[in-house]
Amino acid sequence: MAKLTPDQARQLSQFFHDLSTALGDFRFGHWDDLTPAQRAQLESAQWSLLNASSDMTTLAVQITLEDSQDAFNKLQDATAKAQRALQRLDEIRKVLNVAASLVTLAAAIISKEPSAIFKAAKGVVDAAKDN
Amino acid sequence: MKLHSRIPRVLHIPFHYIILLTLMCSVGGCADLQAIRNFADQSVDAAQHQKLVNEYAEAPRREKLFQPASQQATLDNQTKERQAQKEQLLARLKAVEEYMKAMGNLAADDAVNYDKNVDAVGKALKDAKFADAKQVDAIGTISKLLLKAVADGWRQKQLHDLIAEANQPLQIVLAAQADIVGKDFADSLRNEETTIANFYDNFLRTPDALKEPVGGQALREWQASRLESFPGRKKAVASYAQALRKIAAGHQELYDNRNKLDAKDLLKRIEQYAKDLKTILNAVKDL
Repeated sequence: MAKLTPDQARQLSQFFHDLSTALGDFRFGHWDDLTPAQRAQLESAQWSLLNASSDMTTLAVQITLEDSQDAFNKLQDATAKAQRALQRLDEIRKVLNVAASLVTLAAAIISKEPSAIFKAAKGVVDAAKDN
Repeated sequence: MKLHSRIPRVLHIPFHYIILLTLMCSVGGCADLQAIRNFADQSVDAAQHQKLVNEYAEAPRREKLFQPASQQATLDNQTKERQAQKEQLLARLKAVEEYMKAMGNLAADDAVNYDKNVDAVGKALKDAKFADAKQVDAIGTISKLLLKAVADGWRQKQLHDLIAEANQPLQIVLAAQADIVGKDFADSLRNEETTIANFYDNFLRTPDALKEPVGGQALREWQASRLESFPGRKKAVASYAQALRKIAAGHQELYDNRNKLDAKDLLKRIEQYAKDLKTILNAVKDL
């Protein structure tokens, strides 16, 4: 049997709901014509149909979810790509930090001052660590 | 005398940079996409609204109170199935939220701020005596603008590509979610309302109820009180479905105009989508 479409499941849900309501109306409308056993039987059918209606609603949701699963996966892939792009923006900022500290180190080496070299080298290490 | 030769020598480099900058701005950078950011923020807010999903998943459990023992197992099964669906429905909303966050961040004007880094490079140049103070200031100012133009251009290209790639799956996911909320959540509410109405009707519509007018009146009041919340809840699901469709329509506008995302008339329309979304969401939250 072919799979129901979500709208077919929704139509069935409405149909079962309306049948359930109609059974209730019949039961109360013919109360005195029915035996207690018949009333109980109708009431049970009324609840069963109402729950069948809810089952159809649950089914409509399930089919809709399944039908859109591929799109859901693709959306997640596109988002992951965008998040990687945003990370690259952050990487550019980090590279600039390292570049600045390297310029300082170069200047310190030119100055031939050991303390400045040591300090600048530490700056490079710190900048690299931040990355 | 040529204009260029009248400019002090220290400003010659910046002059060239300015020409370059103008060119770079003209190819895509330096645009204010705040409207897209606002639209994305409102969409994130909408996607974070989980109350209606929880209500749908919990409906069979609530109905157990009003249904006979013979139906309890059926309602337990429904609860189980809907709990599993709840995870999927929330995952969809999370995916929309994450997507909109990424889109908003790419559209944000402050996404790229290299000022501090450029200042650090400038200071390093000055300290190393590679350039004098004036040159460093000029280079710094121009570098900031240049870097921003380059980064903005790159960022907008990423935004363009993201919108182009994500539109189709986003439309499908949002349409599915809007259908589920607008149709199935509404049907679930209809059945829950009928369940409660039936429970009281089983007493109120029998001939015996006429023999107990005071008890009947009390029951009618209970019934009315139990059913009181339904019109508001139905309105909430309809409005939330409308919000999801609004997000889809706004994104479709962005997709249709992805090659001119900085066009003023487009940004004006997107700003209006953001405002409409906010109004709808406030209404949903108040219900």
